[in-house]
Amino acid sequence: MSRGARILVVEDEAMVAMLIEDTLNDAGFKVLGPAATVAEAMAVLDAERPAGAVLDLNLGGETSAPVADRLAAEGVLFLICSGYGASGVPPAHVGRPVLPKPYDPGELLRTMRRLLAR
Amino acid sequence: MSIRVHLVLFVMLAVVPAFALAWLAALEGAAAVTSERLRGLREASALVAAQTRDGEVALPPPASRAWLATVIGPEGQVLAGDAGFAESLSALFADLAANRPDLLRAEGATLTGGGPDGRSWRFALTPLPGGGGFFAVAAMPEAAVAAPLEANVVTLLLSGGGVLFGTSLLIALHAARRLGGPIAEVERAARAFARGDQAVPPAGSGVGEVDALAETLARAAGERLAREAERLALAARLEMVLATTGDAVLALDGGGKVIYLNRQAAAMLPAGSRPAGRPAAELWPAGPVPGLVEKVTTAGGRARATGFDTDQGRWIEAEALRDADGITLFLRDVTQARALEEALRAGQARLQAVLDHLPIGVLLVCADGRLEFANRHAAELLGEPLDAGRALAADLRTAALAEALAADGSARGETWIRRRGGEDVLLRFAAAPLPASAGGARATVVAVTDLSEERRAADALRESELRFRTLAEAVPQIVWSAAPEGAIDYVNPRFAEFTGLSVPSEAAPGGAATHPEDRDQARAAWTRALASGEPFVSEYRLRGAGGEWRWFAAQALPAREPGGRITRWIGAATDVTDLIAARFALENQVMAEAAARQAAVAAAEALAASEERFRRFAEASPDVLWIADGPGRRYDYVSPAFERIWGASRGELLANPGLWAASIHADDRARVAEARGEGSDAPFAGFDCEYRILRADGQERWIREIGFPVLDAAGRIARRGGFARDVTAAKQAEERQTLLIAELNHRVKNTLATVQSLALQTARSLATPSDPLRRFLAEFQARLLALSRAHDILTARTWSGAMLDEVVAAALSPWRSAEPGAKPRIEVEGGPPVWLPPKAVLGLSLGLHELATNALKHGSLTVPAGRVLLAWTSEPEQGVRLHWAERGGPPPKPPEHQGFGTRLLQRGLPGELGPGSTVAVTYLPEGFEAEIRFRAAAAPP
Repeated sequence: MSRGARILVVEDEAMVAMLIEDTLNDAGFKVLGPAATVAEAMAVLDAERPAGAVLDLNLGGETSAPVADRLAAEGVLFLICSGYGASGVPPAHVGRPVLPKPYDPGELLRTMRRLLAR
Repeated sequence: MSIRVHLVLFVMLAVVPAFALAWLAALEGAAAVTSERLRGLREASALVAAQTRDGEVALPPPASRAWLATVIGPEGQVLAGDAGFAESLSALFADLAANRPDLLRAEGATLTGGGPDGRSWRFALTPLPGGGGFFAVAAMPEAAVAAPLEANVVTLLLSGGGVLFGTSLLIALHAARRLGGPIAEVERAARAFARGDQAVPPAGSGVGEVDALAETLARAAGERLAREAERLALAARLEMVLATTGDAVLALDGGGKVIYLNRQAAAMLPAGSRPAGRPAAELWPAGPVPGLVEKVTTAGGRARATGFDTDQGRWIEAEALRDADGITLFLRDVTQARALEEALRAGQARLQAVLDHLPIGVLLVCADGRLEFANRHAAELLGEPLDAGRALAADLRTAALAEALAADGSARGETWIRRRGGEDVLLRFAAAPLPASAGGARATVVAVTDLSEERRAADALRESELRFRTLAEAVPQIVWSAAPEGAIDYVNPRFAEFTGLSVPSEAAPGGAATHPEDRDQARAAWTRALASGEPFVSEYRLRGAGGEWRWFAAQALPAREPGGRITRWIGAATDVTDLIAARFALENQVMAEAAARQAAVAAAEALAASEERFRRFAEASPDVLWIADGPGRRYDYVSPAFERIWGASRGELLANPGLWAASIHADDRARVAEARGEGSDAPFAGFDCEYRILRADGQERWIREIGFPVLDAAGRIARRGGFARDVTAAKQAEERQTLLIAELNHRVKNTLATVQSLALQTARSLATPSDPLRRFLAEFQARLLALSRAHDILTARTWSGAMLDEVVAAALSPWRSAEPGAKPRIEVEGGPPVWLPPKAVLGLSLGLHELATNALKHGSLTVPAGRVLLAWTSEPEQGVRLHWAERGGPPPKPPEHQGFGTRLLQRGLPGELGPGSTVAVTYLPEGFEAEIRFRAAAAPP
C-alpha cells in the first residue's frame, strides 16, 4: 500500500491523464508527469526511477514501446493502458497488466497496488 | 669189314687205355721218388746251415752222404764246406744274384745248375741264421735226384702190354671161329634166296642171334614162295577180268608204250594194227588219250579225261593211273551215255525253269530231312538261298512239316516259320510223298505258299475296325456307320445318350429324332449323298431325351475300296447349339460395340466441345484457373490470368511447377504448405488460404487460393483443380478498414475516457464533494464503463456483432470478478449460442448493467446470500428469451417512480434489440424477474 510511492504516468490525452492523475493522487500516490510523449517520459526517467508507471501505448501516433522497454530494463513495474485492448501490446511486454480505456478507477488502483506489492 | 678186323680193332682199343694207365702209374712212382730225394737235399742244406758256426761247418764224411754242401757269402764266395764245386757254385750264384735275387731269398728253394762235373746238379739253399746273405748250399747230381723213368716204363709196358695183348688175341680168335662160320653160312643162304633159289638155312650154330637170323631167312623164303603162287593166281584172274570187262584196259610202260591190252582195247583199234610196244598216244591220237597219258606221265597219280575222238566218231572217257611200273589206261565209249545225260539235263533245266516260275514254293525233301531241291519261290519265302543237299534248318522243320515228312503221307497245314532276317512268315504247306525211285530213298515234295499277306490283311482290317469303334466311342460327337445303300449298321453311344433312342436306324439323318421342320431337308440330303457318292452335309435339330431341341451339324463321307466302289459311309453329327448361340451373341456384341464406338465418338466430340467451352471460360476469367495431376505435382492447365497476376509465363509454370510455391512470401510459406496438406499422408481434401506472393518484378500481391480434388468415377482423386484470385486490392482495403476501425475504436475509447474524465473534473471543480455527487459519479462511471466494455467486444469483432455469452460476461464482469474462489453472485447458466448485431450488443450491455445495479441496490444482491440467475433459451423463428431471476433476497417492490434504469430497460432496450422485442419485469415475492425477448441475428460466416 505504499503511500507516497512515485508513479510515472505516460498518457497523451489530457483529460484521460487528468483522470489517472486524480485517481492516483486521491489514493495517496505521487504522480510523476504525466508525460505526453516518449521524450517527456524519458526525461522523467533520466531524472529519477519511479516506483511504478502507468503507460498508454499510443501517444498521439507514436508508440510508447521504447518507454516500456526502458521501464522494463530499469526494473520498474508498470501497467499498460490501451484503447486497443490486449491486442495492441508489444510482444515483449505481453504479460504485463493491461487496463482498457476508459479506466475503472477502482480497477486502476487495485492493479497498481497489486503491482507494487510484488 | 669182317669180324676179324673188328676184333682186332677191339683188341687195340682195349690195349691203349691199359698202356696209358700203366704209363701214368710209372710216372707217379718216379715223381714220388724224385720229391723224396729233393726233400732229403733240402734237409741236408738246412742241416748244414744249422751246423755252421763262425764260418766253420762240420760236415759228415762224404762217403756217408749222397750230397755235397758248402757255405757261401753274399757275393758268392765260398766260405766253407766241400771243395770241388765252389767255382761252379760261384758262377751259378753270381748269375742268380744278378738275375733272380728272389730265389736266393726264398727258403727251401732248389735250383738247377751246372755242377763240377759239367752235368746238371740240383742245389738246395738255406739262409744262415743271422742272415746277411749267407747261405748253406747242399747239392746233388740231377741224375741222383731224378728217378730213372724209362727203365720202369719200358718194363711196365712190356709186361702189362704183353699180357693184355695175349689175352685179347685169344678172345679174338675164339670169337672168330665161333661166329664167323655160322654167319658166313647165313650169308650164303641169303644170297641164294636173293637169287631166287631155295635157301637152305644153316644148322644151328649155337649163337642165338645167328640162329634167329637164319630162321627169319627161312621164313622169308617160305613166304616168298607163297606169294609167288598167289601172284600167279592173281595174274590169271586179272587176265580173265580184263578179258570180260566192257572197258578197254591197257597197261603201258613208263614211256607210254603199250605193254598189254585187253580184247576190248584191241577192238577199239583199227583192224590189223599192231599195238604192242607202240605208244598209246599214237594209237588214239584224236581224243583225250594223248593228253591224259602226258598228264599222268608228268604229274603222276590218277587222272580222267573225256573227249570226242574224231577218228572214231565217238565220245571216249579215258582214265589213267600211274604207278611205279607204268601206266594203266582205261577207255570207255560214253557216246550214248552222254547223249542221255544231255537229254536229262535239258529236261531238268526245263523243269527247273517251270518250278522257278511257279508262284508257289516247291521243296523236295529226302527221307533224312535233307533238301534235295528248292525252287526260287521257296527260297524267297524262306528267306535264304537253299542248296540241294543241305539239311533243312531245325526251325524250318516245324512240327507239322516234320510230321508230314516222317509219316510219309500227304499233309496239309499252316505254320509260322522264322526267316533268315528275323521276321516271321505264315506258310501254308501241302506235302505229298514221291513214289520211291528205283533203288533210291523215298522223298517228299512240299508246296508252300505265303499266307502272311492274307493274314496281315485280315488283321489290318480287324484292327482298323477296332480303331474305328474305339474312336467312335470316344469322341463327343454322334458317329454312325452305314452300309453303301444307307442302312445304319453302327451308331456310337452318344446318340443314345442324347436322344434316349437305342435303335441304330433312328440315327439316320431325317430319322424320328429329327425336328419335323428339318426332317425333309435332312432326309433329302442323305438320299442325294447315298446316290451320288458326294459327301453329305446338313444341319438339323435333334430331340434330346429331356425333350429339348439342339442343333446338330452333320457330315458323312463314303469309304471306298481301291476300285472306287463305296464300301460304307461314316458320318458324324456335332452339337452346335452353343456355337449358334455364340455366333448370335457375337453378332450382338459386334453391333453393341459398333454402337459403343459411335457413342464414344459422340462423347469425344462432346468432350472436345466441352474442352473448347472450358478453354474459353478459363481464358475469360480474371482469376487463375489451374488443373493439376492427382498428386498435385504437375500442372496440366493454367489459365492466362496467371501471367497477368504473377507476371510470369504459363509455359514457365508448366515446365517448372515449383515456380508457384517459390513465389509465395517466405513468411506465408509454412502456413500455405500446411493448408495445402503438403507433407501429410491424408488424401487431398482441398484448401482455401490467403497468402502473399513476390512477383519476379518485386511486386507483392495478396492471393486467395482455393484448391479442390477432382474425383473420377471410382471416387479416386484423378486430378486437382483450383482458383487463385488477386485479392491485393481487397486485402489492402481490408487492412485499411481494420486500421481504420482500430483507430476509430481508439478514438471512441479515448472519447469515452475523456467523458469520464470530464465528469470527474466537473464534479471536482464544484466546491464540496457531496454524497449525491459521489453517487452520481459512481453510477455514471459504472454505466460508462459498461458501455466501454461493450465497445471493446464490438471492436474485437470489427463491429460485426457479438455473441450473447460474451456480452453477458462483459456486462456483468464487475459483479463476477470478485474474490477469487468465491462463487459469483450472478450465476450465468447460459444458453444456446446467440449472435447479436452491434446495436443490440450496446443496448443489452447497458440493460444488463442496469439490472445488475438494481439487484445490488434494491434486489437480491443486497444480502450476501442473494443470487441472480441468468439464462436464455432459443425460441421458434430465431427467437431468444433471456431470463433474469433474483433469488434469496428481500421481496422486491416496484419503484415508486421510474428511474433511468427502468426507462432504459422498458423503453430503450426493446428498440435497441430490434423489432418484435419485448422486456417484461415482474416483481415476484421470491424476487425480481425480468424477461427479455428478441430475435437473434444470423451469425456472420
